[in-house]
Amino acid sequence: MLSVYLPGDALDYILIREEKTSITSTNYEHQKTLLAQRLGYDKPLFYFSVISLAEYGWQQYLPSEKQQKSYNHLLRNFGCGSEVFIFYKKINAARTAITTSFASATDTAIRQTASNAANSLFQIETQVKLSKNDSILDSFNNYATILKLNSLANSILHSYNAMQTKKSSWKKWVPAVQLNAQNRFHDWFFGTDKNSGIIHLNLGQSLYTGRSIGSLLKEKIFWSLLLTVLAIIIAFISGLLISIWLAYTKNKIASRIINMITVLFYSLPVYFAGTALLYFFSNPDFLQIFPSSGVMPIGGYSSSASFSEKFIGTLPYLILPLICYTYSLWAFVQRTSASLISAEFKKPYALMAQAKGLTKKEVVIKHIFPNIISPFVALLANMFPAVIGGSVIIESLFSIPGMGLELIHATTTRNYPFISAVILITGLITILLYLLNEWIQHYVDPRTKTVQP
Amino acid sequence: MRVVGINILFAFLILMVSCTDHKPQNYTVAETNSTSGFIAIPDAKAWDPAWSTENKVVYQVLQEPDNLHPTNGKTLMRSEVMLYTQGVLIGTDFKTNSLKPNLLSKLPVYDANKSSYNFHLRNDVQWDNGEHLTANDILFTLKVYKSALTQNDFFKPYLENMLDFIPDVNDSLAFSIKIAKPYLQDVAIWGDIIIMQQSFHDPKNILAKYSLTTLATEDFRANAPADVKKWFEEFNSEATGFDLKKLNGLGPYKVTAWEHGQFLTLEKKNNHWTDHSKDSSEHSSVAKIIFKISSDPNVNVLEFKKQQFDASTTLATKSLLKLREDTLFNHNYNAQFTSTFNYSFAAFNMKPDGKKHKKLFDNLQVRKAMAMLFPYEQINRALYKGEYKRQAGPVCSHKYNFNESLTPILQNYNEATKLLADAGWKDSDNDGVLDKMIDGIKEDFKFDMNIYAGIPDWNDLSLMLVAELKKAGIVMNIVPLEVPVFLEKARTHDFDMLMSVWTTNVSPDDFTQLWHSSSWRENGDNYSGFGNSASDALIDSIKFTIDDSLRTALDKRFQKIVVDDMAYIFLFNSQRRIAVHKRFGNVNLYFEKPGLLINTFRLLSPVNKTSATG
Repeated sequence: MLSVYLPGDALDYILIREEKTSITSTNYEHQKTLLAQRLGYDKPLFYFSVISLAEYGWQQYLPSEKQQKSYNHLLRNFGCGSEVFIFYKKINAARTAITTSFASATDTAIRQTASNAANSLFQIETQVKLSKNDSILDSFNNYATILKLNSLANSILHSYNAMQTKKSSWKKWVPAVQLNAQNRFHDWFFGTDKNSGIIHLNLGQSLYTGRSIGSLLKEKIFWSLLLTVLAIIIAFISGLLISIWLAYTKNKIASRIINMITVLFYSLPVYFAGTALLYFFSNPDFLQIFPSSGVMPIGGYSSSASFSEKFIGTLPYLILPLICYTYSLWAFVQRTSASLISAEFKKPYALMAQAKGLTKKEVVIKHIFPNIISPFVALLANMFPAVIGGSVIIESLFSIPGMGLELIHATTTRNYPFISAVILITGLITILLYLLNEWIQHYVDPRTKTVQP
Repeated sequence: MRVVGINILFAFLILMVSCTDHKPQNYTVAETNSTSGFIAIPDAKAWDPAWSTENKVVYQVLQEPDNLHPTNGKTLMRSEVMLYTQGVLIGTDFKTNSLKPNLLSKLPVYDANKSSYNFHLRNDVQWDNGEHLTANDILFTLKVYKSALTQNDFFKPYLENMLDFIPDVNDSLAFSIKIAKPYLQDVAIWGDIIIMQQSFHDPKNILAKYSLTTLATEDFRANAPADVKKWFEEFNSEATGFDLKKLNGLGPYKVTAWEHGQFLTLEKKNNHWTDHSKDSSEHSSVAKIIFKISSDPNVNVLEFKKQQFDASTTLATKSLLKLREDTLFNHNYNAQFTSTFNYSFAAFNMKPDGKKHKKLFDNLQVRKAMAMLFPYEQINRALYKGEYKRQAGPVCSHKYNFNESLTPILQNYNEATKLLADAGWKDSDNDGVLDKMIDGIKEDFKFDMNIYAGIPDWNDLSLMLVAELKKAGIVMNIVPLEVPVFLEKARTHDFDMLMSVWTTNVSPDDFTQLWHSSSWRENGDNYSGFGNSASDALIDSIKFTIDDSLRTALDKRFQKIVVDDMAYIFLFNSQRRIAVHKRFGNVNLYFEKPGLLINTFRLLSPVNKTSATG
């Protein structure tokens, strides 16, 4: 779906080299078609497609959007799929042959005529104004006569006439459901001869590097999950503890300071905060405490380094990114938990507990805290995708080799297998967190259990 | 209490800022010996005891290679790693900006009678296992590159001109390549073909049973025997491009570590064949090269200040300008902007459809006027501190075939407004915007400028242009687009104007892709619609003239036609931003990619140097 509906063609990105050297358009189209076949991008999207009867059974992959539009337009307007298919194939083959055969002709006039002939055919291949086809074919015939390609021109004309004769344009008004046994969803889900499919937990190959998405994710997910999970744990525990402490101490000054800090943290853009942290704590002009980028020393660890040496060596690299991951989440958790506790305080059970002589501390810890746990776990499930989203900026800034950084690259290079894998995994983790939330709710408050009728 | 808290916070911030080093800057440009082809940086005369004495270069790069597969990768970063780890038949003489034989004893010679090029390999080239390079390895390489089963779809069109490989039965180092027709890049293309060792990749000699032509056919893709299909499956697999044990090459370095997204380490091979080469430029002195991936400009500035990086060719312009204001940086590094074979341009849609895109730039006078309204000097001063040089035409000024008679168009407001008036554009309704009757409809001079999204320099440049055009009564709307969308719109002529960069190299220019009218017609890279039968004929002639002296005259004629027709506004020659630590000597800055040959650096010795800090 992404590859079809997002602007820009991933295959172009694979085929275009970073450096410009010459390549002809016909070669390019040929290679793009072969590439589409290899990757299965020439197949329909799903098991069925709703089209017109005129297109039924005669759809084909064409390398450019204009060609695709033009061909579909011909199919719809003439309604005779077989004749349209043959006509289109003929003009495409004729153009390729003319371009290849006359490219090195020594006679400039002949070369120019061949170019004009190819141009005429390309116009038919890419335009949707059918009224112009007659005049374009006339010009092509003239060029073909000069190039002594009369039989080729006659063959094309013959196909064109056959198309006109068997025209049944009414078919475009009849809807049809086309079943596609071979389709891209099937390949992705059940696999092909080269790829075992998502059903076998095979996420495919990166279009850009050729690496398997599974091994790429395995490598990238570690750092992203490590930082995300640490950030969530730190933010939730510290945010909640501060809220609880503020609730029973009722320290107004501390409450105001915390409020001020949370407002500041919640509104501070992560890129700005990250850059500021780098300038203050990783700058030889000021404080050079933490490293600026990466997750290990340049060049890595020696092969004899122990786990503890690696852990201690890596720790300083994680401090600044972790602050970036955590501060905004912490502010959110603190403010949300503070308002939840405040609301619970007004409820009858809390008032009753206080009336019975329990201290505020006891009320908060024994009665209110268990009641705010379950909305908090729900919050955690909702926060996870957002934290993964935020990792894009942090990982880019601190050069952390995680999913966020790879996601940026995958988006700009239209590396759809990786993008869909990230969406799939983030979705799965979110669902798991929702399930965990359900389970915790039942555990904390058995009344919420569903009763079977 | 809150006020006190805020005051403390401010005091802390002010204190931190005040601690920053604001000593008077003492910046001096490195003394250079400039020749036509490169810039030689003199070795540091003094040694700072704080400098590292490790013979290791940490080289900052923006991204890692897509892979290190011998055939199936395409990024420039991969090519840069390959430069040190692999061997090619033809390379670049970076000092003269010309092609030179690398693994060959001399450049191939064309035999018109046989329609083939004759090659002869050097006899001192050895693989890591001690085997000598032979013509058999070249045949194997060509078979793999041309095979329909190899997943190098992007590269195959470049090999179509090569028809057959003819070995010399009497000499294992000699062979000929038969070609379809002589083409100007027949020789240069060998610079992109990584030579593979047959006995390493195909120890069972599976491909030997099939001819070059058989392997290249489409039928072979479908009907290849099972053992061949299996071989290609393994060859195309992830392991060949990423498993360090499977990386094998003729270059002086081997990849010893690759932490994806972090760094890639190359180590010098012991007793490599280039160590004994008579050509000293082939000797490699650096023991270890670490490609450190770091893309954030702010981080890069900090890392250079901390001397964590030894070299870079990809610093952001603003980062390098900022660093050059730092005394300590100038003490530790040589830094310079150098020319490249790349240039920026603004392209017009010369053949708009008249519906979605108004007929604004189909008029030569209007295009000229637009070129005269560009604030080149202001852009250069504001964005590049005057370091950038203008581009005059489609060929860079330091290339052998540049037409010296071409000069860049300068900003000239009065002349521009006169040209616009001559073309019929005037502000008839006094709304501050020029207008004109086009096909019976009054049209305002308003247009979209497509630029790449997320690149601050393009945005800043466009904003300056908006202001200048507004003075002349033209409204420009900036449209930032991500790369795939930008390219699609450019190729399908769905734009008014766009700004981009072309990357070229020292190879002879084939103008087909960028300037032939067929490339516009068939949605290629001739975005603007330049070209007519005369220019097409000239491009075709250039393409098939392999005699350099004859072709250069044609090249120059063609450049003049492009400039006269104003299909592009040629902006600036893209400058490479280079920084190299002064602890290394023998540093040359080259115009051709990658700009530095790190292996040729020489670690300076503290001995016999006066202390730089003393």
